[in-house]
Amino acid sequence: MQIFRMVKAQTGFVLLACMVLLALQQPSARREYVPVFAKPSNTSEPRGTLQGDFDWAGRSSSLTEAAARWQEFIRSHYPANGEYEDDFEHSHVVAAQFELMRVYYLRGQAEKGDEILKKINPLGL
Amino acid sequence: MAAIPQFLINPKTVVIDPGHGGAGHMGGSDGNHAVSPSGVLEKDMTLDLSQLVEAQLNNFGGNRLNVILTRDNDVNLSLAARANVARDNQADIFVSIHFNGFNGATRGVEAFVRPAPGNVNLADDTALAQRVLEAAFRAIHTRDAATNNRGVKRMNLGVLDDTALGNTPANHPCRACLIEVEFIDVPAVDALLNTGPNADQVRREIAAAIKNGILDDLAVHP
Repeated sequence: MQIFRMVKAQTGFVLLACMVLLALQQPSARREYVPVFAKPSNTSEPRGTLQGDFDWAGRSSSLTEAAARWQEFIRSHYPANGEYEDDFEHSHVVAAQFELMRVYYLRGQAEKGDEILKKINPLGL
Repeated sequence: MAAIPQFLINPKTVVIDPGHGGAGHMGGSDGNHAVSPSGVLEKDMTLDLSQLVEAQLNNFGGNRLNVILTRDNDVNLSLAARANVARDNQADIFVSIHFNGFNGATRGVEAFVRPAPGNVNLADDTALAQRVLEAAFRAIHTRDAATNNRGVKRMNLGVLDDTALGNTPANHPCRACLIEVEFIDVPAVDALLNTGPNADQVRREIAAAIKNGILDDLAVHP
């Protein structure tokens, strides 16, 4: 009888923990996305350009959409050989990496966020 | 033209690279990056300023100074092709001219060199970048104290690649840097350089400053 009660209590705890985790994760995934660096620019560059794609990703309405858009931005604009054209390109690509890192943290995906943080290596270590 | 200065007894070659140009992507070079609030494109500003620098250098050095632009119209070249102009003409100096942009508020002038390893001329490149940066910063600061000197920074920039410039550990004649002349997405900078009543004059002053930075560098490498 005592074993039955313990199993019941443990099952209840696991279920409660799952519910709390779901409750914590679901609202943040749908939460409105407000970028730190990607403020709307005062130009209207088309998609496919660095500025146009940066603005597009920065206008994401939710964290889920922001994650997808920043991933696409980095896929499209991270220089293939790590050689940049100028500071404009460098600052936009690095800002995109920080935005994606932050989105991962806000969504509770710490490992993915840490992966980007290590790649950015802000301390140059 | 005044008397030929000592450092031009041996003729020198300077390559000026107006960043971007044309449309689309070409070997690491985008047609355009920054755009001013009034709609002026970075690629047009880089060409205009480069041509002003070219004219002022020619005016100073005459036939002792061979000044070459990597482009003189609205075309795009790959980053390697731009640097190759320096290699093919055995240039003494290569300066790539860009304008910056980010959030409509950040201001300042900055210059870039390639870090080592991968740059056999790091010390000389840094000295060139410092001379060009300081001169350009002073010219802008005289007109607008809100600008900043953001310093000389190191970055892996394709246009400053040693091999493409023709530099090897045994023979490295070409000193090279890239300058970002202010953030043109800032309304005050747009007025200063494009739409204000003194914009033409300010651009000429910046060109003269870049010219002076280049000449100062040539003077210590006679």
